[in-house]
Amino acid sequence: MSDAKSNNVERDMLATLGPPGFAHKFLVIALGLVVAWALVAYIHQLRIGLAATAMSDYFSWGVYIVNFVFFIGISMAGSLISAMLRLSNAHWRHPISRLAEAITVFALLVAGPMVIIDMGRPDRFLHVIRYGRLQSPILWDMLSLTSYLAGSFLYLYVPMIPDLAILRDTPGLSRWRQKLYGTLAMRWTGTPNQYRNLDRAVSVMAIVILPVAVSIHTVTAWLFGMTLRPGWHSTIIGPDFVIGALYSGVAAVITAIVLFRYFLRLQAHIPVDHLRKLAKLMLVFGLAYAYFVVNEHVGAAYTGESVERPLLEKMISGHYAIQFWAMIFVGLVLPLLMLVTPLGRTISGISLAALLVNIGMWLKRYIIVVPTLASPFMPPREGAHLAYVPTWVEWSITAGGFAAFLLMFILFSKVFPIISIWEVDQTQWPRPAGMPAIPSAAAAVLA
Amino acid sequence: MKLVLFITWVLLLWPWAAFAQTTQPAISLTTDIEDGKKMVQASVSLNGKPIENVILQYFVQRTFGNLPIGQDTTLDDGTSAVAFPSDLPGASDGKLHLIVRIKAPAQYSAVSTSAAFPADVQPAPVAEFPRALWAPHAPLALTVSIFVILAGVWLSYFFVFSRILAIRKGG
Repeated sequence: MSDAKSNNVERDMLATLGPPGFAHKFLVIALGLVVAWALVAYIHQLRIGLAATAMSDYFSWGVYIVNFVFFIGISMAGSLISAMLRLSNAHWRHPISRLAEAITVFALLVAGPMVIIDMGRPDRFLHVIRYGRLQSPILWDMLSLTSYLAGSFLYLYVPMIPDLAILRDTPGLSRWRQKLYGTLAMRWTGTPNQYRNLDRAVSVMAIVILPVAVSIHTVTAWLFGMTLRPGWHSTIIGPDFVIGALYSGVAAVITAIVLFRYFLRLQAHIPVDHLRKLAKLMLVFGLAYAYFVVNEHVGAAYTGESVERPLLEKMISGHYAIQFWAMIFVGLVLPLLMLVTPLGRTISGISLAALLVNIGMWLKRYIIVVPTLASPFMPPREGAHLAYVPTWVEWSITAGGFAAFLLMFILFSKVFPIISIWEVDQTQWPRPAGMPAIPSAAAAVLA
Repeated sequence: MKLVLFITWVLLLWPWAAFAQTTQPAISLTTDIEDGKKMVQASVSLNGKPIENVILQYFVQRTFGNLPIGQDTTLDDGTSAVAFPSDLPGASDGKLHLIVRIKAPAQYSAVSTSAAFPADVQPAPVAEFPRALWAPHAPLALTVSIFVILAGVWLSYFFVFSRILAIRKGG
């Protein structure tokens, strides 16, 4: 530890692992209660079946799938912030990469069960494994999701090894922590060979996780796109989902950074400039996503195709107009306008814009799922409006999903350093002579 | 006693049997070659005797109904014929199911018969399973693509895992 800043990183990170304060305990209990309530709701659903939800033969999907797509979307954060910025040698990512990688893992841990909850009978998930058909996009999604989750765990863990070694060597920690850090640190002592293997492992993961991340978002899009339904069967739905995931992923990272920066007092290590850089990324992805949204609807509006036009009318001026226009203004217009004004360079402005994007992108997923299901080819009677209003069970489980996501994050930050100590403070494990300070990904793989 | 039973049988059953025989003409169907052309020939007889001037309609059974292929009147030998529909594909068993129905005289108009003959045009073979989700196997290209992609990803993970173990061994 050679300078004051280095000391601060280690000290401040160790401080975050200390005994929980009142706010921490309150949050854990409050979030735990919401999760417990969601479990009660789920047990109720298990007892009486999907009749506990507003789903029906017309609405085979509901807010559970909306949540699934939303959490899959924000899971893009880790791949983007950590992998893309690592491969492009953007060193400013160091203090925020672990937060991003953790978002990916926790978002996937919430997204996966949403599908099982939507199935009604969880035992039928085994049928997907036992009788899965390779020609079904549902199996593609399961294979892609499990690969992405496994990769995200690895990508979160591998760059953490030197930090775990720092914690292992820290005196005064409780017995279980010493045992945990000692096991996970993999006898790291910073030898040249260990560094070489670490650089290789991290670089390979950074390269592999990107196409896997693109695949999960594309395959999730194909769950809709491979179905011959208006609004879904589109050639641009794959890239549309990828760009949407990048947009909501950056927004989720910004929201998480702002919260942890404030509550864990990390202002010295995550300067405002980092948030401004992320805000610029969010602006770019937001503009790209706006372009996709226009493309998504302009064809139906211009051609007036018989099955697409009524769906568009439902969204623009019909039953789903409030959700649609709320998505447009809350998710796109307002945050993008904020980001191009001086407000977009302040922490409060960036935070508000990111929060609006998160809300807007959840609404966008609702707009993707529900209006199309409300427009079947064979309605019960001509012109009949099919209503889907989620029940208390669905809202409870949705709230439980968000609470579980936050709870995992808070518990994680109490056990593991939320900022990569060894990457921010490169004097912690000095690189052996002759090794580049931070090798490029290609150099590390080929070394 | 035996004589009484015999007389009873004769009195009760014989007239009904005789009535049934005399009211239902029989139609038989065959195929034949006339002047080098394949024909469907129907013979109408009543109690073994050919009937003349019976108008017969010929049909081929199709999926959603019977397709008329011709009409002819029986000659003095009780036969009539129309051209065999050589351009029609057979059913799933490879045969044409022909139906002949009496149109006139009116008292026989309910009488019909059917017979199956090998079709000249065989139906296109129908795949046991169409290209669908319930097909027993995914297309080969799809299967290979998925396994190649998954193998690439998971082999990379195993490589990373091997590097973690190498770190544990001290490099």
